[in-house]
Amino acid sequence: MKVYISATLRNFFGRNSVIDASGSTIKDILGFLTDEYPDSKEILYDASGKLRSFIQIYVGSENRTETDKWYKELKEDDEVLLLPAIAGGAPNESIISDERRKEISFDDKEIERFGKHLLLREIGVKGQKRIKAARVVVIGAGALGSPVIQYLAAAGVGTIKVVDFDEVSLENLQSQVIHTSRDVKRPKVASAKDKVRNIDRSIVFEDENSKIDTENIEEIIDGYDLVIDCTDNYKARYLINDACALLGIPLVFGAIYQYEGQVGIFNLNSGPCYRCLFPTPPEPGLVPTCAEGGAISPLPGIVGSIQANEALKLIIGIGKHLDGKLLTIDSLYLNSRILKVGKNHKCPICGTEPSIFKVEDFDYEEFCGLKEQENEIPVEGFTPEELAKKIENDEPITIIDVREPHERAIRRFPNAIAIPIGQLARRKDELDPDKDTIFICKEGKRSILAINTLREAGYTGPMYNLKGGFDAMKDIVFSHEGAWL
Amino acid sequence: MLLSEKAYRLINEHITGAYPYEACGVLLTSTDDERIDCISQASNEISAHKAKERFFIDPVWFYGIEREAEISAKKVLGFYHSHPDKPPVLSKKDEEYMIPGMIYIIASVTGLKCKEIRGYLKKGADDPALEIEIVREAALI
Repeated sequence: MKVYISATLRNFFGRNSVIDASGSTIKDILGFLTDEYPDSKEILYDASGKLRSFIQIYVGSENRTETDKWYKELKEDDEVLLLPAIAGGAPNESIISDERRKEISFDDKEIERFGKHLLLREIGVKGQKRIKAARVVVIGAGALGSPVIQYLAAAGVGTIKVVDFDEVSLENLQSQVIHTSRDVKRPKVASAKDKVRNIDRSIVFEDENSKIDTENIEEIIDGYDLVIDCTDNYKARYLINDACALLGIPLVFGAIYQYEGQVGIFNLNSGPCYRCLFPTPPEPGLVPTCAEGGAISPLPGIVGSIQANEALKLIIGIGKHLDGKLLTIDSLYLNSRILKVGKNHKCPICGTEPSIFKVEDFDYEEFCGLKEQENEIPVEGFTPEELAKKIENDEPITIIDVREPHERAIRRFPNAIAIPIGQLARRKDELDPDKDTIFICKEGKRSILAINTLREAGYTGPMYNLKGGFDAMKDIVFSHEGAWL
Repeated sequence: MLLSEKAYRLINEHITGAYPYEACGVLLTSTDDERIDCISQASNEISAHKAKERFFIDPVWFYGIEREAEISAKKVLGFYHSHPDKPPVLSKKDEEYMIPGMIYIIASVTGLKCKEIRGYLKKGADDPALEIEIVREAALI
C-alpha cells in the first residue's frame, strides 16, 4: 500500500515522500510506520497515545482521521495520504464584552491615574476600559484577599465585592496587610472597604459581612464576571467552585501553606474545574489550614499578587494564563512549576454526566468530613472553662498535647504530656485507661483525629477533646497562671 | 527568517482583504537560503460564524499546493494567518496545531492595516513554541 507523506511531516519518516507500507487497514499502516520509523511515533501520537490534532489521514479525498475509520479494509489501489491539519484561532478573548467596554469613558484624572497601563500596548485604552467595566467578587479578605483586593483596586477594577464573615484579630496582622492595628476587632470587610476607598473613591465597593453557604453563594456571585477564591478551607473551595461552575463564572483559585502556594484558573470556557483537579478533599485534620499550619508573611503577597495578575489578564484578554494549569510555588527553595490540569469527564459538576445541579442538593459538610458519621462514635469534649475547673479541682486527669514540637515552643500547656499524632498509636501504653484523658491541639480538630486514631489502635480508656483547642483556652491558661498550676 | 517584500505585500493584501475574518495561507521558498519569497493564499474553511476567530485549511487543497511546489522546485516553510483586532500572539489552538519544524507567521490586523507580524516555531511536538525573528527585506535596505 502506497502512503504519501506530506513534506511538512517527512523529517520524521526518513525524509521519504512515499512509503510502501504493509497492511490492509489504516490501523495496520500506522503500526507499520511507527515500527519502521520510530521517530514518527512522537509526531503521530501524544503522550496519552491520542493522534495529534495536526495529523490528518486521507484515503484519496476521503477523510479517515477518526479512529473508528481505521479498521475499514483498504483496496489494493488506494493511496493513503498523511497530511497536516493547518488550523488555529484567535488568542484569549476578554471575559468583558466589547459592548460593555464601549460604554466606558475616562476623565482626565483617570487618564493620569492609569497612565502606566495605557502605555502598555497589550492593555491600552481598550484594556483599561475593560478593567473599569469588570465586576469581581473576592471571597476572603484575609492573607490572600489583602493583595488581591488592593491590586484590583489600584488597577482600576470598577466593581469589587468582598465577602468575609470574620473580624480582624492581632494574629492576622502578620500577613493580612490590608488591615492595621487600628482595625483589630473590626469586620474584615469594613477594614477592606476603608483601604479601597483610600486608593480610589470612584470604585464601587460592595461588602458582604457573612459566611458563604449553600443558601447564599449563588446570590453572592451571580451576575459578576469573575470570582477570586481567597479562602483557607476545603468546604469553601468546593462550594465556590461548584457555584462558579453552575453559573458559568470563571474562578481564580489561590492557596497557601507554610512556604508553598498554588494558583490556578478554573471553569473558564468549559475548561477543568477545581473538582477535576481534586475530586475529594483530604481527610479532616490531615492537612492543617494556613491558620493552623502557619505561613511566612510575604507568601500570601506573592500568591495573591499572581491571582490579581491572572484576574487582570482574563479581564483584558491578553497573555497566557493558568487556565487548565496549576502553578505551584515554593518560597523556601524558590522552586516553581506549572502542572497541567486535565478535564475530568466523570466530574460530578462539569463532566459529561453531571450529578450536582444545585449546590443546595450537595452536603459539603459531609463531603469534607466535617460531620459526625452515623456509625462513628462521637467524640466528647470539654470547654476551656470545664477543663480549667477540673485542673483547679485537682481531678485525676491526663492531658495529652498532640501539637508538634515547634508549636509547643510558642506556648506550653502546663502539665501536659506531649505526644505528636504520628506517635500516638505506638505510645498508647503511656496512657492510663482508668483516668479521663483530655487531648489538646491548636484548634481542636487534630485532637479529634488523635482520639479516633487511638480508638482504631484499640485504646479503650475514656478520651475527651478540648473544644476549640489551645487557641480557645490561652486566655484562661495565662490569666490563671500560678493560680491553679 | 527573511521575508521578501513581495511575500509581505501579498500577505498584507490577503489579510486586510479578509478583515474582519481570519485569513490564512502557505509560506514557500524558491531559494536555497530559504527566505520566504512566495505565498499561496488559502481559503479559510471554518464556518462563517467562527471565521473571525478561527481558521482551517483544507488538507486536500494543501496536498495539491505541496505537489505543485515540488514540481516547481519550491519548498513549504510554514503557514501564516491573521488575528483580526488581536495581538499576533499564539493562542492555545494555534499552539496545539503547530507542526514541529514549520514556521508560523501571525499577523495582527486592525481595520485596513497589518499592525504587526510575529513568527513562531516548535522544535518538538511537546516543546513550547519559540518566537523567531521575521525580518522584512525592506528593513535591510
